Amino acid sequence: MNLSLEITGLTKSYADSGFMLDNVSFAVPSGTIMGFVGENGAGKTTTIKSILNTVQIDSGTIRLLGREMKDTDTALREDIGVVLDSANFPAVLTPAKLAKVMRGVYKQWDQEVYTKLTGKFGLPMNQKISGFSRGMTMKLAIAAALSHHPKLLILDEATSGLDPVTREEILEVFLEFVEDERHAILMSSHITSDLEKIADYITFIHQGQIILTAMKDELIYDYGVARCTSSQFQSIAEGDRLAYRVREHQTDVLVRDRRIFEQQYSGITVDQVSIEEILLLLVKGAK
Amino acid sequence: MRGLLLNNYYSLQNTIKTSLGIALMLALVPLAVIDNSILNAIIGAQILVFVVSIGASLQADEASKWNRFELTLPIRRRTVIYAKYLSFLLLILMGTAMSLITIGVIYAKGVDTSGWSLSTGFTFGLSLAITTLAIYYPVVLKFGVDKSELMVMVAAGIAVVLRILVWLLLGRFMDGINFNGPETGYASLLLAVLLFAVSYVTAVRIQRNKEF
Repeated sequence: MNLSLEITGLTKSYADSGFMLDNVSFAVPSGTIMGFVGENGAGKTTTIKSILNTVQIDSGTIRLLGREMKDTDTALREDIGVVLDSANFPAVLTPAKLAKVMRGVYKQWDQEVYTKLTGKFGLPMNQKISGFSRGMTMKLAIAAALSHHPKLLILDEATSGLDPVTREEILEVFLEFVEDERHAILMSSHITSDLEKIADYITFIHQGQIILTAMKDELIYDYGVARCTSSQFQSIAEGDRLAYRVREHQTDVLVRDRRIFEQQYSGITVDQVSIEEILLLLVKGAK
Repeated sequence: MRGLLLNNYYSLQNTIKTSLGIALMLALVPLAVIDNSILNAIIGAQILVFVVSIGASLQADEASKWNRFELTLPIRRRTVIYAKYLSFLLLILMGTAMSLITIGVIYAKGVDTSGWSLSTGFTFGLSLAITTLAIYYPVVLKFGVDKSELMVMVAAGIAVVLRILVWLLLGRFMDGINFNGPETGYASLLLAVLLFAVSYVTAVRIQRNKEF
């Protein structure tokens, strides 16, 4: 399997806040979308900053498209499209001026693709970015990120704060992008429903540590949440539960394979589980 | 590189327009007042006006987090700084070009300037502008642009102090050294150019180690 992104043993600490990325490891295979999920402050943005070399890591290796990226690796950055949590373009620019700037930066800049995407997103070419809504700025950032033919897209909260219609449009673009087997996307998001729609893999991060990486289909079709009474909960072997959360009238237990669990513990109802519920159980629940 | 220069130009466009307006108005002053010292002050001000409001564009870049985003582009950190310093030089060149208009106005008016020392305004303006930028930029790069306006004023103040020090130092080795004289002017300009080179190297080092 070709890996578009491979992170091994990444650590990064901040002396002032005490926050630390602790031995973060995961990989994004080519042709796939990896959803990167965690609560605020879990370490998603720090991981992305580490990948992009905007912070200096303490240890570990990060391989993008098979290579470690240093400041001098400008050719490698031609192949990486980045959308951060806001547009990040000077507010005085217009989409037309931005294209001129990008054309002077990327050797692979494709004006035709840019014009097509900005047209598809309905962006006015001569309006200043300062007058754009958040949805428009994010669409512009995505158009710019895709217009230099990247092989790997790194998206940090690219769909947050957008309405469902805009999100749907953007998700379609991402799905089109990974139709090419050489392409891949790492997408951090709070909106787990977006990831349920398009991600192939999900990685959960909590307090700077990776707590789970799995295929999305496994999470949705195999994982389950058992709704137990307290006596039922007591009967469950510790090894059969990934996390649990005591609620008012029941205890929710996250299980890896709901069919096997149902066979093993008859009488306990096991529901299908959403990515959001898994995140809540892993983060807020106990082991 | 071309893209970065273009982006710097777009960011500075409003500043440049305002500075051009001010410099043009200053260029018309000799039509009403003709005096060697006033002319030199105008020339110096025309050069300086292009650099004093640079903070606004740097603040806008930081607000949009462009500084972080540009590190994800296929350019080296050193190139980002190189483009910035090149843009600064272009601003100073624009100021110098505007001051030439003032000289043009004087000659067009047919004023006899044979006894005047026109180098004072140029050396004063250039040394002040170059030194101000040389001090200002590495500091805001390191500590952020929050107190940018104050930092410009402090840097300009330091530039004036440095000129005084140059004058005092030259006075110890040479007789008849004038604060507004060409010796002080050229020596200050030389010091400013050296500071600019040191500033560039310092800024590259800061940028290399900076976390965004």
